Amino acid sequence: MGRILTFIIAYRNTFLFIILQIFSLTAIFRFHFYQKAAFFNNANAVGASINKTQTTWRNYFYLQELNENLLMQNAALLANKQDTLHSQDTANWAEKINTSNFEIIPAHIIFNTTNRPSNTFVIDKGSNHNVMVGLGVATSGGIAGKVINVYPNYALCLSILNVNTPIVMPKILELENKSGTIEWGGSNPKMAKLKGIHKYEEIKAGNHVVSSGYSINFPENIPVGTIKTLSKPGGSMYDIEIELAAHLKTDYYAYVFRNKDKVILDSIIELNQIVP
Amino acid sequence: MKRSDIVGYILLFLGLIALQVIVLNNLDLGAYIKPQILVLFILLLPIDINKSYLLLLAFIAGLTVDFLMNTNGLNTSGMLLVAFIRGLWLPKENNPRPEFNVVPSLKIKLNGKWMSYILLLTTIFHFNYFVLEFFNFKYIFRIFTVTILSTIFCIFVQWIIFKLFLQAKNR
Repeated sequence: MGRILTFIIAYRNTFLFIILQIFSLTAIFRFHFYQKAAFFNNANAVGASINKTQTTWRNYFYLQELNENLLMQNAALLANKQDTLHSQDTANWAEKINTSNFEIIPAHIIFNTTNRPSNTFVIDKGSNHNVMVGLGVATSGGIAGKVINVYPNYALCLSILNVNTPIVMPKILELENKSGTIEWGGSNPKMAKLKGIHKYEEIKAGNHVVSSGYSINFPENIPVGTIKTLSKPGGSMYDIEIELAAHLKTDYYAYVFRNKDKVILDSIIELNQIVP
Repeated sequence: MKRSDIVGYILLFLGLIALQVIVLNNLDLGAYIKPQILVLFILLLPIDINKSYLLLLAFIAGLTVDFLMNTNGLNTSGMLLVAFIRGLWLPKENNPRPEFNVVPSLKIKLNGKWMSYILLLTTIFHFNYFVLEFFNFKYIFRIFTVTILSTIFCIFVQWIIFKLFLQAKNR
């Protein structure tokens, strides 16, 4: 016993290092594999208030851009209400979606990153405002991410700009029921790749990629992006580059979609062990 | 350690956090240059500090910046690693001469050993950071690129800090 104690005391720093390192690695891998941000995030009250101050200052420099985005959205909402479904402008998605089953919670993005492999952002609405884990978030441009951690007044969201987890199952608006998967390359916050579209489909550059109706967290027809370039490589699938509709670098206003039946749907999925 | 030194280190810590959170995170240098300046705090902690305290300080410093940047422990892990291995570069004798050795303090006399100490440990910190951040073998070349570019930029910022605040006066 005495020997063990001597050993531990002699190597106390190594043990301390290992224990603290395990603590931090646990946090890192919890985030990587389960999308759970453990203790190192600023979506709680203290960190969020710091961020809010900082974002208020930062937004001062983006005021013009923010105003222009709002103006565009307003103009699109006021524009003629026919022919909105195939409109070229993505800013008016609020017109074309069926929101009867969804409660829309407006929020502000108060912390945001775009240059990491897995980006996150913080919104200023939390469990006090009915925000739950798993809900979808869109900015005025298009789909932005999903909620992964909720606090009373703030929520942490995983951005669509992440290389690990698909946020939404997209489809091409101009085709009926053709869904694929979105993959982000990890460096350019404006572009992403659309995978899983067969070569015999007739698509062209400029087609709109929107959310499909298969998710319980997003209504149908919210823009994800537009097809920018497409090529036919060796395999059986297209190689499609899309330009993302959400401008996550500058967007400040966000909308959280809360499915009114989410609790029931989640319990059905859990009861029957369906993998969503 | 003198009382004025403690104040100096607290100011250094707060200053580096402010520099990281307010300036470097908002510089928008793209996905390939992401300098993490806080490692300088661990590199400069005094030579005679108790190693357990050093590890705990590294842990607290890393936690603080992770908390502010939503990085989920990436900084904490790197800070602990640097704190653990920095002893390899420090002189073993009792009264090392600052002219020829690495003697971390708030007043530095730069020499060749200092350069390798700062360069290697900053590189190790960034490498650890980006390996854990990407954590996928298919990004191996990207990890190397980001590490090298971020380290170069970080060394540049550190050099400015050194010229402004840390240079020992020649007597």
